[in-house]
Amino acid sequence: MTRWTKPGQRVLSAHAWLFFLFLYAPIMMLVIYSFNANTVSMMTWSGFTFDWYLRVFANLGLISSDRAFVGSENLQLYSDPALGRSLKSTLIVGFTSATLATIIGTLTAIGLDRYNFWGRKAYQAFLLVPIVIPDIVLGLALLVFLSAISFPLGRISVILSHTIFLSSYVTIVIGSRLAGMDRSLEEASADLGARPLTTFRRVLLPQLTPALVGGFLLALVISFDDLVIAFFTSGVGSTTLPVFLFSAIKRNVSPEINAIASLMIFVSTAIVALALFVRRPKTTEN
Amino acid sequence: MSRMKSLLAAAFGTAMVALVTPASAADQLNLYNWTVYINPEILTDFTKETGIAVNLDNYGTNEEMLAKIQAGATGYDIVFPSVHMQDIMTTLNLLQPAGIKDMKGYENIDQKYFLSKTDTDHNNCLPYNRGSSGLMYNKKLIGDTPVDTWKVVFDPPENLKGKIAMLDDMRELIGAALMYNGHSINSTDPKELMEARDTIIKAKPYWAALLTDGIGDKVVNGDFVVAQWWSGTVIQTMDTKPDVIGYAIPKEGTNGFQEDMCILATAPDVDSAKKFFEYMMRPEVNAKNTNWLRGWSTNKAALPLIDKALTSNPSIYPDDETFKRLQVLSDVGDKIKLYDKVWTSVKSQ
Repeated sequence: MTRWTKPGQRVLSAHAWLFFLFLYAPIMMLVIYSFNANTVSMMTWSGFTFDWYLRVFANLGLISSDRAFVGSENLQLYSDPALGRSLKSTLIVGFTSATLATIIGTLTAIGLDRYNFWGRKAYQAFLLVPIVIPDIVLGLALLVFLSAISFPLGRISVILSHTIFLSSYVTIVIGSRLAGMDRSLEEASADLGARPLTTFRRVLLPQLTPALVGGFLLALVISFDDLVIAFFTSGVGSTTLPVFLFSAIKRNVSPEINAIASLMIFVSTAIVALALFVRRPKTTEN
Repeated sequence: MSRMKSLLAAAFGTAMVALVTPASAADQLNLYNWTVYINPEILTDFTKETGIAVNLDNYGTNEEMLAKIQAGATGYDIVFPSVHMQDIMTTLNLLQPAGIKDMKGYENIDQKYFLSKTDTDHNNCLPYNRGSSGLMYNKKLIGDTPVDTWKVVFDPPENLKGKIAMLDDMRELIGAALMYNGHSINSTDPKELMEARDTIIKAKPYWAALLTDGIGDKVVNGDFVVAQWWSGTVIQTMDTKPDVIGYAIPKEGTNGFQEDMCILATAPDVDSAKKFFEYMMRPEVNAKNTNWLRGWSTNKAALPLIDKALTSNPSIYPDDETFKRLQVLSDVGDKIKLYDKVWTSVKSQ
């Protein structure tokens, strides 16, 4: 192990702190300004309010929207139900496609790692294609394909398209975990008379859990973030949040967006925390 | 094994069909519109009155919408292209005539707003809403510099240098320079375009930024004093700070844009779409929408019902004299390459 000199250690820890500051300061700003009562300038503090959050909930139909919120006089800016609808769409698309991609990606990775078959190398190479080709090419190709087979564009077409390219990411995450895993445990399990399914469930899957969680979260985040593929493959009633926000560029964007972003950060932090909690080391190690 | 396979295939096939087959809906109208470009309330009112459900999806630019429709996206009934995009779409057979001329309410529409070159008999699309790209300014900080000219941004006085924002949009910015030099916003003359390039490059050091969003805040704060921006968003900012924000249309001319409401050739529900057209031509509906859009209505019967703060402002509802100075962006075809060249050299300076 490398030993660091005292000044060296200080520089290293200063670097780490600066790095975290650089990473988290903008996010903290966003969370703070999501409570800003200023309706004109998002970046000038003028008082504390929960109204942006209440508006998001009202737009999602979770609470009634009878009461007057901050900025009620500016009707156009602050009463667009499309914002809530697109958020809902993004969440549905993200969770469904990440789940499907995790299942498909995991099975693909196991198949590629454990079995030898004709065309395996080529298959592995083709798996990378959705990651390396530009989104716009993939998006347009998917749209042309979907309309060629007259598949109706809608939420399902976005979910399927996301599943396709997210599966590649998950396969790679799971594949690298599989490559580093000790195969003798599985062999021992088989030796002791466990059926393949039992081995998969009791030996392979627990070892894969960190990669599964990682792959799922990665897929979820990429899906939330995707603009181009969602734009091309979405149809009637399936505008996602990035598509909505990008197309809102000619207009003023409501400060509700700070609240939505904070909620998304909160939700993803909660998911990660939950994942860590589930995977916490057991006290009775055996 | 092969039986297993065919079973799986059958199950998969059934599942796909179940997923794909749309629920047999009652009347449903699907709009494909710019983001934040229609009052959600008039849509719910329409549903209440007719029982036709309305669904709204959004796009951000004409080109995005065209790419999607051209690639075969179906399901939408009505789109809202800008006038030049309407012409392109008509040429590509992507639209079908709505038959506006014979509809109830046609007489409410001001004839001067039928601008499309491919729709001279006023049969295809309904003029929906207008706006302009002019100069938004901070009344308190502008001093006595005249803002009704492009000179204020291309050759600014000392106190405005570094306090100017221009649109990060190829046609808008090059168009502004062309008009400042006395040419058409749709010029395809290489000499005029090179001149526009030089005008922009000379003025660029005086500008704080090229942007398309977040401009309003900064003019209110005084970070910018003058900014080229779209009128609809300017008025939103003006509503909240009427004593600070002003808007001017440069006397050399500017881009007066207009979106029209059209029925797609592939529209699944033409009857509902036509009902929606007649509904939108009613003065009270148009006024309700225009007040929400902070827009420029094309419906002359609706004018008395529209917010006086809008109709009494000559920069938002210009007189005939000013109206003539507004130019309409049109498709320049292959010559867009000249614009690309100017844009690249402007952006890389």
